[in-house]
Amino acid sequence: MENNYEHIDALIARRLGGETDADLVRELDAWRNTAPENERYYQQMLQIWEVGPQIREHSTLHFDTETALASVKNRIHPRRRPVVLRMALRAAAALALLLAAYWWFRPGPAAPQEIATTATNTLSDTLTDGSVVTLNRNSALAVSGGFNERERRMRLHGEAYFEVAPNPEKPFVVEVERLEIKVLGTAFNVDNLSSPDKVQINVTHGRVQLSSNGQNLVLTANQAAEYDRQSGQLSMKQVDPGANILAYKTKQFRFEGTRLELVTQQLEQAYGVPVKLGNPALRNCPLSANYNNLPLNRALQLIADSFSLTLEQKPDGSYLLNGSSCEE
Amino acid sequence: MENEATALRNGDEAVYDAVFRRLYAPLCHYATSLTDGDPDEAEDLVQQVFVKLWERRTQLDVEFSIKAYLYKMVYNAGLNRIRHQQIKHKYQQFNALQLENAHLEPEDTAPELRERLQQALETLPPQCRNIFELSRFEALKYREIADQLNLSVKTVETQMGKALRLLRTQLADYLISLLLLFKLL
Repeated sequence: MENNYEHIDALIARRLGGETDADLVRELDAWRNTAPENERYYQQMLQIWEVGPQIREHSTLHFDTETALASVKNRIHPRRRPVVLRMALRAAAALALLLAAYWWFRPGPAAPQEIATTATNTLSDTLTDGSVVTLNRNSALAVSGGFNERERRMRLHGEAYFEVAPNPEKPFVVEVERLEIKVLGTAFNVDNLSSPDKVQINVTHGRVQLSSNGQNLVLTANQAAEYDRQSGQLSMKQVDPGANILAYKTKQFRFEGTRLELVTQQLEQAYGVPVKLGNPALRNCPLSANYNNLPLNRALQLIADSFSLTLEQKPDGSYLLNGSSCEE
Repeated sequence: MENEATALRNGDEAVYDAVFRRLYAPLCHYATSLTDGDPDEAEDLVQQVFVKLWERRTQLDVEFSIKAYLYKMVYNAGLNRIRHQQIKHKYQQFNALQLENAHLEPEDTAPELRERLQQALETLPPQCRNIFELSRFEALKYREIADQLNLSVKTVETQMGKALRLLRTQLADYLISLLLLFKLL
């Protein structure tokens, strides 16, 4: 009974959707003529079908298309402002700069601690010295009161990427537990999340000095080190380009024969959405690909296509890749 | 709509404007169902999609209808946004939408049926409801809906049939009385 209705319902949906296939029309007409209840059933479905569009027509929401079009056109071709306005803007910018300079350099009591915390999202923020910090999920940054007076000192829990505004006068120092990371140059990542017993530091530009228990280590661009939480020991580490350590920030992934199990783990971490493999046989499928800032579903669709897998999104938002094996 | 896509590919701004004027409001209505019923966020989302449409105009597939393409982009942008917020309760969106539309003024032939249908829609399984709305509110073809949701056309047809059946069950009392009227004519 249920199954029978499912078939008839789909026929009705196809017919109402404009399908004019002769076999379909014949089958449906025959069914409608079999019993008056059938015809009534069809008429009721038709009525629902026809009332549907009225809901939208009676919506109380109003959208101003012309204003929106103007704003979108402005974003598509940013117009140059007239000269007088440009000069006025420049003057205003100069004034703002002066005010900002006064604010930075003014003497006075230390401001209270500022804290940035993330739970489910990443967060990018510009510190008052112009440095930019990207906090990964479940991380926190506490900036000490006298920040940017003699030095720029802060304390990190979790993972963050720092692009440090150069200023040799005021060292940029990040504390993680008993580890002190002093920046001599520009950009580095601190990962305090992934491993229970290690903190990993990756430097992308410039130089960074690590200090722990009197041990010092200087890292330069594309070098990495590990800090052992137990012993406080520092050690150099090989940088693995396939580890995509900055993907939580950049959504850029490079895979070179990376096992599918690791790929899905990295995507899961970077996008914060569970990605499961339906079959253990898929874990070792080797993926070589570059993804540049793609939405997660696109990246997964590309993976599914390259191994002839199926991709399914569950009602809870998670994804499932499935298939018997990874044929390429 | 092949000509429209071709014209857009060639950077024809008059065609772009025409597409915008025709589809902006319907897309915003649709986007509202993806933004917890927030019309401002829906507008932001749709405007971003139109900016992207212009930026990617040279990559447009001329075989594909612009309308279906835009709905798909809005849908994906909406999903990304929802995921970004770690998926608040889907029902929250539905409630917001319901509140938004709660003070409709009844005026036309079957206002009561319309209102009851709207309430009944809230009770459908999310995918069923989404398919019904894409078909009946946005006038997308089953093929286009299937493409947007990564489903087969057959699944869309089955789900649409299911939606109609469930709605019919809920609205049965009201529909029967109308049918008597129907028979007298």
